[in-house]
Amino acid sequence: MTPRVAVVAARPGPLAEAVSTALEDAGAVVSVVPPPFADPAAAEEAVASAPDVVVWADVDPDGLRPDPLVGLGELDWDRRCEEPLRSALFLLQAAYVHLRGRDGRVVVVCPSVSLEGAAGLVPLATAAEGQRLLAKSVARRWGPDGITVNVVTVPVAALGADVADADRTEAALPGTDALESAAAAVVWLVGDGSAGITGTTIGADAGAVMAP
Amino acid sequence: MNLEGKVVLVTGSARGVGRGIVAALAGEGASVVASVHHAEDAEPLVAEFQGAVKAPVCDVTVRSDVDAAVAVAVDAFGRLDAVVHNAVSNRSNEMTDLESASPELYAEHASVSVRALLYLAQASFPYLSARRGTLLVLTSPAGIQGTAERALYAAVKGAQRGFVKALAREWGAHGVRVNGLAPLAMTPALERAFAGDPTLRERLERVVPLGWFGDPALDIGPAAAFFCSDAARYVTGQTLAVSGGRFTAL
Repeated sequence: MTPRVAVVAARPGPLAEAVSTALEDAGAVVSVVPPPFADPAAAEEAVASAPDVVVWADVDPDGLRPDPLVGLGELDWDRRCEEPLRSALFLLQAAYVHLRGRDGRVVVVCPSVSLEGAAGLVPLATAAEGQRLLAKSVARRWGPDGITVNVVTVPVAALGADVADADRTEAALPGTDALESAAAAVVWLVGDGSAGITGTTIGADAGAVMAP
Repeated sequence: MNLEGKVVLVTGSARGVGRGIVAALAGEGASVVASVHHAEDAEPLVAEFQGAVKAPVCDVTVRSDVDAAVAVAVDAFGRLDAVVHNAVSNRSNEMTDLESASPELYAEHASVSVRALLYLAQASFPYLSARRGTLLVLTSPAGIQGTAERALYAAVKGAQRGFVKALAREWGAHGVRVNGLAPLAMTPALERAFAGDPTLRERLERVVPLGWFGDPALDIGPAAAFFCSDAARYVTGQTLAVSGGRFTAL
């Protein structure tokens, strides 16, 4: 892989560890910066290393806790749904000046409830699908600048959610490590062999959802 | 679709797709609470549809307004069978320079499309669950495929689809269906967008296999009426694109 400077936006945890380690193993210089980003200035600070690779791989642990929507307070809603969407937007806005003209790459890693939904996880699914559509739009917008933007989805069980039927479809490849698969997909999407791939979603779910 | 006896709340009813949905629902016999953002839009709606329509003023970004609109349905008609969230930001058709878009502009989009969904769902759930009712969210083809020129709009419309899928799984146990409708229709907002971008109409027509834009009352309204009817009783968690074939990738 061409040497890269990467920023991984993620709180400390197994997903951040898997993605950052895989990128480092592939030769990238990696900074891990924890969201949320309260405003554009905070996001600009997060990309102060002038990265040519930006990976969003953050899931608020509270967002993985199942709660019925009807009883959810506004502060919880904002924290679990709107703040992650806002933070991802601010990060992409801040990253653009560093990515353009440098074969820039963006990968958004989000829970697969963006594709399937899940009872109790409405804020998480709302945020994740919003992030996925933000990625698709940015892929269309930044393609002429040579920037690719893609999505990798991960089952919520692999992220630590304790929701019995969230990942309701049986995996075609049981026993696969989802975080390891996600990290491998990220490395491929920021590597030299995927320059023509943009706006797509790769399910790192061992063949569970198989979304069209 | 027979909607006789059903009571439906529709947000953003003053014009365009919302007004078309109100017309279709009333035409099928429903009683409609057609909420409007501006008071001057209420009287024409009430006059046009007479006793079938109440038109409360409702800013969907204000929880107490949403609660009040739901209360209008229950007080006036004694029940609530369906909620159709159609309202969008007045700036939804603006071309947006994503890289410099302000947090305030994003907040404007999110408040109407996303936060309002929280308010509507929470306020209506007791009534919808009592009637095995339905929540229908007007999303957009942009919220399926993305769009380079309106990324903020696409993001919140995509977020709505995530909301639909998750809440459908959550509320299925209560017998409440949750679906999305992604229309492409000739509305005042689209006409303004055409006026602001002389090439937009031709570009859009080129990617719509049917070659024309839907009529809010004749093409979009009947699809909304279907989702509000018992004919759709086994349909939940879905987004139907009514877009002349603009979206075919599923």
